Amino acid sequence: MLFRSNPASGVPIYLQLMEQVKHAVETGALRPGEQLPGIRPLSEELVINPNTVAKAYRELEHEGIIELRQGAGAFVSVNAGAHAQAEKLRGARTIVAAAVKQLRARGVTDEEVRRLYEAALAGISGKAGSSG
Amino acid sequence: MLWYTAWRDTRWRFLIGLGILSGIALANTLAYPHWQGLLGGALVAGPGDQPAREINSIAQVSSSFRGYVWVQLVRVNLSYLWVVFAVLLGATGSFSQRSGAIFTLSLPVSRRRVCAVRAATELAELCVLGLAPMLLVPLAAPVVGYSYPLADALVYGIQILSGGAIFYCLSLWLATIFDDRWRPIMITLAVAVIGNLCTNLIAALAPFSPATVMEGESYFRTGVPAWAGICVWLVVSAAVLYAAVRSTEVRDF
Amino acid sequence: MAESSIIETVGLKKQYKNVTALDGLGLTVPAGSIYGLLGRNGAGKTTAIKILMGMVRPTAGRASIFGLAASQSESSVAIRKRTGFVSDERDLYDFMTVAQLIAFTASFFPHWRADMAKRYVRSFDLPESRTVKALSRGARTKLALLLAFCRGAELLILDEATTGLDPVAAEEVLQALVGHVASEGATVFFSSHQIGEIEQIADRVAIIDRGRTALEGALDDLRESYRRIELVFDGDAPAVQFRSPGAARVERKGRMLTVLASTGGEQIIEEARSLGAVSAEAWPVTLKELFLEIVLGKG
Repeated sequence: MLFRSNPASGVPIYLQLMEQVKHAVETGALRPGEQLPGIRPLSEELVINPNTVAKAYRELEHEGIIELRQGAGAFVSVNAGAHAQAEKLRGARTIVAAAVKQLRARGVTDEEVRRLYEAALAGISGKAGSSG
Repeated sequence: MLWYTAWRDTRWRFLIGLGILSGIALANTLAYPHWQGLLGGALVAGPGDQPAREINSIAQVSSSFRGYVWVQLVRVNLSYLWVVFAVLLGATGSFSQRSGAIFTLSLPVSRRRVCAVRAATELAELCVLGLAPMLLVPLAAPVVGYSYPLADALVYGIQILSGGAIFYCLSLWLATIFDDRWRPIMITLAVAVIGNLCTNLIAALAPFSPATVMEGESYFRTGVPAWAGICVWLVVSAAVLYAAVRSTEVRDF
Repeated sequence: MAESSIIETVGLKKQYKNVTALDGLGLTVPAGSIYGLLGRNGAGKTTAIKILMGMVRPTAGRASIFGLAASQSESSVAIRKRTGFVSDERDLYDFMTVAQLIAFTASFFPHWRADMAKRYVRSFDLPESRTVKALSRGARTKLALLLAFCRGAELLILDEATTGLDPVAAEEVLQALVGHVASEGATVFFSSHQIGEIEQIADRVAIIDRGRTALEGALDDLRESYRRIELVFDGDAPAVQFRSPGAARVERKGRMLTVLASTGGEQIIEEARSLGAVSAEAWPVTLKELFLEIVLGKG
């Protein structure tokens, strides 16, 4: 169906679920106001721990992507799209900050960092070398 | 290799059986001088002498129906065979290694209760095994033209049960120690046979043997049931039964 | 959520004549969790479970369920009133039929769910009039599971629930387990040597090795905190003792150092850089890698 889980990947299953819900919201597979599968049916279908599904749903509610309505179930928030967007940018910001920090630690100047980013965006591959 | 496995699987039953049967044969053989003395005495002595009177009395006993029943059925057939079944029943313990022991242990019942219910059932069965055959005698005797007192049937039956219960309890207790069924059976039978042989050969031990209670000689001769023997052996059996229950309660499975 | 633990063992030891089955096992199972006990064959899983079920007495230490002593005869009966159990050998009464065994078991539990039993007989496809002896291993396991589910138990203890089952049957068992937990809210304690199923349904895990708890924690926490850090040096990798507390195991090979870090990956990377590492990469650690590392890597 809509979701898959990969228990052996080393990434916590609840994070995988959260990613998939957010992705579904972004692509429009899940629309604002639509209901998500219940905890019990979803855990049975994926054969995963219901606590894991509950945790994923709680975290998604915390991030504002979904709403948990008492007795009714989980629903995509009306402004889930905006939230997903904000979340995406927040994550992106962290990645960029970490990369800049690492590059600076290697002695790369800010001007060179800017040029590297532009080149990467333009699709020109940099020198193949060790990562990190 | 097939031969070897067959031997290994059956050797203990075989060896113990060999021991028991050989013991019987040996005992019989060694006891002949005693019999010879009796017979020899009977042949040369007059009818009033001691050996002759003994043989005479045995023959006389069998000449009455009541005596016959005692000598043949109660003393030998029923007593001995009843012990065999008592031993067999005792050896199939509630938690033997047959299917379901772990399952039973996972149910919300105490081991004590499982044992108690099992023992109660088997003892009830043994009671029937001891009483029903005896009760058939007064029922069937008229067919051949004799009558048999009901009281006698009951007393003999009860004495067989009380005297022989110890073998059930011993078998049951051994079954809580050994995991297989055969060792409790063989050991208890060996104890029964050897014990019986000993009390036959050593007259001083006779009053203390469960066989004395089971065979019921005193009741036959005097009409008084062996109350002391009945009580003593019931108490001893109860003690061994308790030991069996305790043994089940503390062991690991 | 500070709930009391459903199962707790402290310093559990079991010594047989010349075999040490358990050598100080400690674990805590919180209410509502699905707790996996992972270990090799012979590590002590079945012994631990038998002690919990009151079938074996420990030589030292204590075990309690619902706050009751597992080794005390009366409290063990009280525990078993509220616990469902599936043994690793699926020990059942071979001579009974499926229907008879269900009726027999039901008689011990005042809260037996007959409706649930009917549903499971159908969904597990159990032949009611066939004797238990004639059932396949998969059907036996499902029957044992049914008997454990329908008694209205708060706790389910399963010893190697899917061992010996084909993948389809195994998945059915896990699915039934997960469904049961979702609708009844029971706590599950299950042992396994199959890492896959623990990763799939457990939220807490304990690794038992040679009769001891080698590792215990929430599975997600382990996934999030354990890292395999690969460090490359210009020359031969130095034989270094990392000051960071999280460096669980260090392996040297040529110019590479591999560190299994339980926490503080960043600190280790910084330390490594200060020692001259030219490359540092942190990778997530799967439960399998963690298990093998712990069980094989011990000196």
